[in-house]
Amino acid sequence: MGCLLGASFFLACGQKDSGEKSEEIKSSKEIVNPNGDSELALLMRSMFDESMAAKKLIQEGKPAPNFSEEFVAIHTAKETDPNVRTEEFRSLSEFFLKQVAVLEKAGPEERISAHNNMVASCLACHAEYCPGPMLKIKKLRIKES
Amino acid sequence: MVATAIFASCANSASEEASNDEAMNTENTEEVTYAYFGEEIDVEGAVQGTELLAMLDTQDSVEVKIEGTIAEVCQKKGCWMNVDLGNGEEMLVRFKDYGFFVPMDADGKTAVMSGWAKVEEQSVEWLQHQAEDAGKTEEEIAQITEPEISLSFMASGVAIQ
Repeated sequence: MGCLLGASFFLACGQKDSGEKSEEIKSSKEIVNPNGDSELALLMRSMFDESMAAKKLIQEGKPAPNFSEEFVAIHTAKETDPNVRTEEFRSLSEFFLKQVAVLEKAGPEERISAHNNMVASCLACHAEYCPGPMLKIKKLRIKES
Repeated sequence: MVATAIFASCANSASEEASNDEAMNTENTEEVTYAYFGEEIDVEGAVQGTELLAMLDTQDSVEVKIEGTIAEVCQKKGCWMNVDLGNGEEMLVRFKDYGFFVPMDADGKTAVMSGWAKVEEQSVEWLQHQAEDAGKTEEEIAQITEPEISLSFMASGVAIQ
């Protein structure tokens, strides 16, 4: 399966967001693939940035932001490799979105494990479809005490 | 971040200068130009593949700048490449933090890479994924059943001629 992942939806979302929030995602927006980025690739990059921002908030004892409305685009964003749109990918995407929803509702005691569960769901899908960015994704994990 | 700084065409305003000094111009046309991906690196002082192998005789990993010919690029999105080390061996080059990519048609070109080289085991899953990205057939992919110990490189910056 293809190297589709590694992406994020800030092409679209970035046009709506500006100001402080864009500062947080600036580095990813500047990444340019000389071969062209798919919508799904851009979405994945944005999801990474949002998740990294969530990690920082959680480490500061704050709740994670509500980002699932943006993340649901994983079902529709145009992919680099059409072969990735399998039933399994749909199931893994659905599972990921459920983990995101759990994280959004998590109380102070559950936030770290909920965040790490969300990261684990990213890794499970990438292991199957695109292992390239797995090292980077592992940086999202929060050490549990 | 990805500084796709293409130095090549400072030459596009060559009109006046071209007619000034023909001899000098002939020398200038041999100037090597680079496109940069990831961190912009100084291409001077890069070692050759054989030198890198000698360095790894005495250590597990090494931070180095190396020059080599690109043998193959990921044909899905340019997220890895194999570089010929000049002694019959190839080295897998990946890009730090998945933060940049290289042109999918860069095979055959000379590249300078800055980063960390190390000998490591490549899992069957990765090798199969890599084969798929390289456009190998299902039959060829299915034949990959053993992990491989090979030289790999995590590049923070790549310059391609």
